[in-house]
Amino acid sequence: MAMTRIELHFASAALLVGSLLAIQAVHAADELPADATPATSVDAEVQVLKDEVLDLNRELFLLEEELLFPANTQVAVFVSMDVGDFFDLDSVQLRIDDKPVSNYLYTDREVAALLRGGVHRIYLGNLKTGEHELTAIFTGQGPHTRDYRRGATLKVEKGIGAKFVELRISDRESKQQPEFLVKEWE
Amino acid sequence: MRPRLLATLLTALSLPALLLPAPAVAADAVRPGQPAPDFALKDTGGANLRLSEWRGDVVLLTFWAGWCGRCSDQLDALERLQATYAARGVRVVAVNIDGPATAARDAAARSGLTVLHDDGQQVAREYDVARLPLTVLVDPHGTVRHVHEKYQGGDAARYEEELVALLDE
Repeated sequence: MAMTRIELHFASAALLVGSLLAIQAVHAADELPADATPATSVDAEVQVLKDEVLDLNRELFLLEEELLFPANTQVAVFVSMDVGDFFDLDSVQLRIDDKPVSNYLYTDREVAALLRGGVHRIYLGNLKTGEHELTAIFTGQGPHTRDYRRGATLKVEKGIGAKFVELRISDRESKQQPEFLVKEWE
Repeated sequence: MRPRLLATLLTALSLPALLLPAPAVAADAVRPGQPAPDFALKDTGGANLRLSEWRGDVVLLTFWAGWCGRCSDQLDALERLQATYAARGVRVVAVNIDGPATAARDAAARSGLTVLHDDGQQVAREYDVARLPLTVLVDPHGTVRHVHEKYQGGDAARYEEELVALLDE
C-alpha cells in the first residue's frame, strides 16, 4: 500500500529521531566506559574543562600582547648572565630616553636561574620609529664583595618590526672585572 | 562537547569585558579573590625577597610603621602565630613603610618575622594601604583571601581561624 505524504513525513521524522538517539547512545558509550563510575566521568570532564580554560587563557594572553604591543612598535629587553664570578647581581634599572621604565630586584633564586642560562624579560613596551637611547644601570657586588654600580648605554634605531635588546652580564677574565654589554637582536 | 561549549561561552563573555570601560574603583585595589600583586623588596639583611617565591605557603602580609601603636601590638600577636604555624607552611611577612632604617624595624626583625623595607612605599601604594596596619592573607596559590584594616585585641584570634581554614583546604 502506498504511503501518503503525511505518513512519509512521520516516517522520516521517526527515522531522524531514531538516528539522533542512536548517535547519542554511541557518544554516551564513548564518553562513559562500562566500568567507569559517574564520579570518574565528572572528574574527567572537569579536567578537560580545566585544560580548555588554560588553552583559552593562553590564547587570550597572546591576543592581549598582540593588541598592547603590536610588532611594529614592540621593544623587548632581556637580561642574561654568563659565569658571574665577578658580579653578584642585585638589581637592574632600565631607562629609555632618560625615562625610567623598569626597576627590577633580583632574588637569589632568580640570579641562580640566570646563571643556569635563563633569560629574563625585564621590559616589554612600545616605541615609535626613530632613534632612542637605552640605558641600563646594574647594581650588585663586584670583586671583593664591594658595592658595584655600572651603567651601559646603547643608541637603538627603531624601525618597522619588533626590536629585541639583550643586557648581558659576563666576566672579563683578563681584568678580573665584570663586563656589561648591550646587544641588539633583529 | 560540553567543555567546548563552555569554552566558547567563556570566550564570548570575556570579549565584551575587553571592550567595556574600566570600573570606577581603582583596578589595583587589593580584594579577596584577586591575585596578590607580586613585588620584591629587601629584607633587614639586604636580601631581595619576592612574594611569588612563597607560592605553596600561606602568607600573612602586614603593612606597618614604627609610629603606629596598634602595629606593634599586632606584630607581637603575629610573632606568636608565626611560631605556632611556621612548620605548617605559614609565613608572616611584615612590610615596613617607615622610610630609612629605624630601630622599630630592627626590633621586628629580631623577633623572627620576615621584615621587608618598602622605603619608597611603592608596594604600599600598589596594595592601596590607607590605614595601618593593613593585613592581607594570601593563599598557597597566590590569591588574596582576606583583607583587614586596623587592629584590635580580638583580631589575632580571627587571623588564626582564617589561617587554619586556609591550611585545611
